Amino acid sequence: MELIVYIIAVFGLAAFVYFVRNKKAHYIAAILFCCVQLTLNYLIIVDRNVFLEYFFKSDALSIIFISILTITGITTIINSFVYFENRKDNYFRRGIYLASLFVLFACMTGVFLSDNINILWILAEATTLCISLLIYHDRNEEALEATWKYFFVSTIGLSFSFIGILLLNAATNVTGFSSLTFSSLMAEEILITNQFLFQISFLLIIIGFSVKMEAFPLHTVCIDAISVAPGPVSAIISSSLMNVGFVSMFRFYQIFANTSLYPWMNHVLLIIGVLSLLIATVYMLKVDNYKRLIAYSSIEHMGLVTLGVAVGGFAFYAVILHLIIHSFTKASILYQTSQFVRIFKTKNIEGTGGYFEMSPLGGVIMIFLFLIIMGIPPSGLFFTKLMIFQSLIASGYLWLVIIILLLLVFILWSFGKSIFHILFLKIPESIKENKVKINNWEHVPQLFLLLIALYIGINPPDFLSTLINEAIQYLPK
Amino acid sequence: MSNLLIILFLITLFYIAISGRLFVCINLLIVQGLILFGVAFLSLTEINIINLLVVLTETLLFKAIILPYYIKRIVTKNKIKRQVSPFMSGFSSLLTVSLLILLSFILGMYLKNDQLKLIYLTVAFSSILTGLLLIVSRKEIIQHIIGYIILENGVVLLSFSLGNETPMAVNAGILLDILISILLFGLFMNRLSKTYKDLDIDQLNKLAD
Repeated sequence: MELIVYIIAVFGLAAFVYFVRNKKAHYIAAILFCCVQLTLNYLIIVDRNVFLEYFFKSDALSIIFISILTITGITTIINSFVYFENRKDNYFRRGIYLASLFVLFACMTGVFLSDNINILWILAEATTLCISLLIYHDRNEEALEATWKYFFVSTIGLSFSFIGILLLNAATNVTGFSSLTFSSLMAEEILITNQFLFQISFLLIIIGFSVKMEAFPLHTVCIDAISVAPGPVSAIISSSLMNVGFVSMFRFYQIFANTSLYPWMNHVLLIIGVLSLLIATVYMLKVDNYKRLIAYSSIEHMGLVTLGVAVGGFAFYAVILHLIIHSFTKASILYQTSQFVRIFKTKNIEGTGGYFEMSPLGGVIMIFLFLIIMGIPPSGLFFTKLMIFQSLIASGYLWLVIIILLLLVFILWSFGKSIFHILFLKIPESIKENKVKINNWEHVPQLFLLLIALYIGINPPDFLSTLINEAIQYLPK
Repeated sequence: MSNLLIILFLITLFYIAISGRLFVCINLLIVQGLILFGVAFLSLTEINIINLLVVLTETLLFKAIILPYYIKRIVTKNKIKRQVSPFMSGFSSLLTVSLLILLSFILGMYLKNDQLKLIYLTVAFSSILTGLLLIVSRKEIIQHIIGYIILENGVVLLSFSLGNETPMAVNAGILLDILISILLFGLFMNRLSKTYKDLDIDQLNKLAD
């Protein structure tokens, strides 16, 4: 019942913002949507079995990531309105934007909650549809190119995942639509009769979801999408949509974790992680567009996360914590870039400078965000990285840790160089005459996310630790 | 009988790989849709009548009629050039497709079990790989879409192999893909052809490092 109400509410609000095109209606719909999303979040925390009859099940993993989605979702909606007002977008575009944003949030919530493999796949495919409309918001040539590439590659990638799911279906020998669920596959011992079939199936699923996860094989389209999309949308791609990919991958990983496939699977993830890190480093050194730079930083973090999953042990805990802090921080940074685009009117690092002078509060926030995302203490990412490296060394990959540390030094150098260029260099001549005023209230959502990220990093609350430990309880220690 | 149809499906793949004309490719998509309709009719004998009807309308109505018609309309409306300019010659494409089919056969030998029949696996993987080959080796965006549809036909064929056990998965998968292809390929093709003159992939080069 609750689920049907939620779906009707989301689609009703989406239709409302599309058809009623004025400012007041949009504000009311946005506030109502936030209330609906908060209610759902409350429901799944209070009663874990609330949606059980529809193949949706709330477990620790989904509670963590839906809470992230709700928090970043609300800040994204606030920032979207700031974005609209400053660009004076017409109400037709705003309507499409808000409608697809609402449906996107609902689909992502569904992916996190879904217990049925087929439903998870369908909802993941539906997120592609919504995010394509959002990337296309500017309707210029670049937006068209990025949208086309994202949509095409994403659909092909998810077709691969579908083949993988079909093969898994055949391999586990389950019959009927309703029985192919994560909980049933985890409850019974999977008999690995034909190892090759399972391996191909896992590979195809990983390749497909890497487009959402922003990891090695199909990460390129995400870079284009983040660099072109409006700031708030980039933030969603780089935080919650990335989590969608991770959660999908992680659930399949959990199925196979207690079988003889486990060591092989870890090798695959190790290779994906190292290659993602390598690619991120190489491109971050030569890129000259700050949005692309931040996008590559997401790939770097996903590489670290995949490495953490691959080595296991207490790195599992670190991986989930890493993703939580990363989501808040990265979203916040990308909201700030939408201010940069507005002030400097370019995405090229060369044309920027003097942000600190123009907006001291924003500058301070940006410095803290920089410290957190690079994993410099007091950042929580420092501790999670430390834990991942400890696990790597414990599994005998000391040489790999040395290489990764070298890569991270390069990343720190190139990211720091660009951020300090934006913050502290002289204000470019071209924008000196008509400086854009930044209202200090605009920083509130970013400051809020920054404080959450700092707090979780320094002192993870007890309920969060319990949830994370519950999320990884089925994995081998 | 269904085996015969599947072999015919394999032959269309060769034809698509060497054809130099756009409309031949589109007509072959119609043939593929009809073959899929036949295979579904003959092999999905154990599922209930509603699911069967859904699958049959999907293959016949969407794959054999609506999608090819839609692509043809886009081609004539936007005056897209009808000659294919591939990176490789006819002979080498033929050779590549043969190698891909051999590869699929070897892959199928290792993957087959009680539910996955060898012939379905081989032809489905050949179709998927041929679709990818078209996407990689041809320049025009319209050819990429044809490649994608061939890939999707392969996925549908693979799902028919499991269709008697998991009919709803098959339905859901096909339906969503068709929805996406109509909605966005149509929408985007019009936008793309308004923005770019030749619809060549070489023109999509603004975003790069």
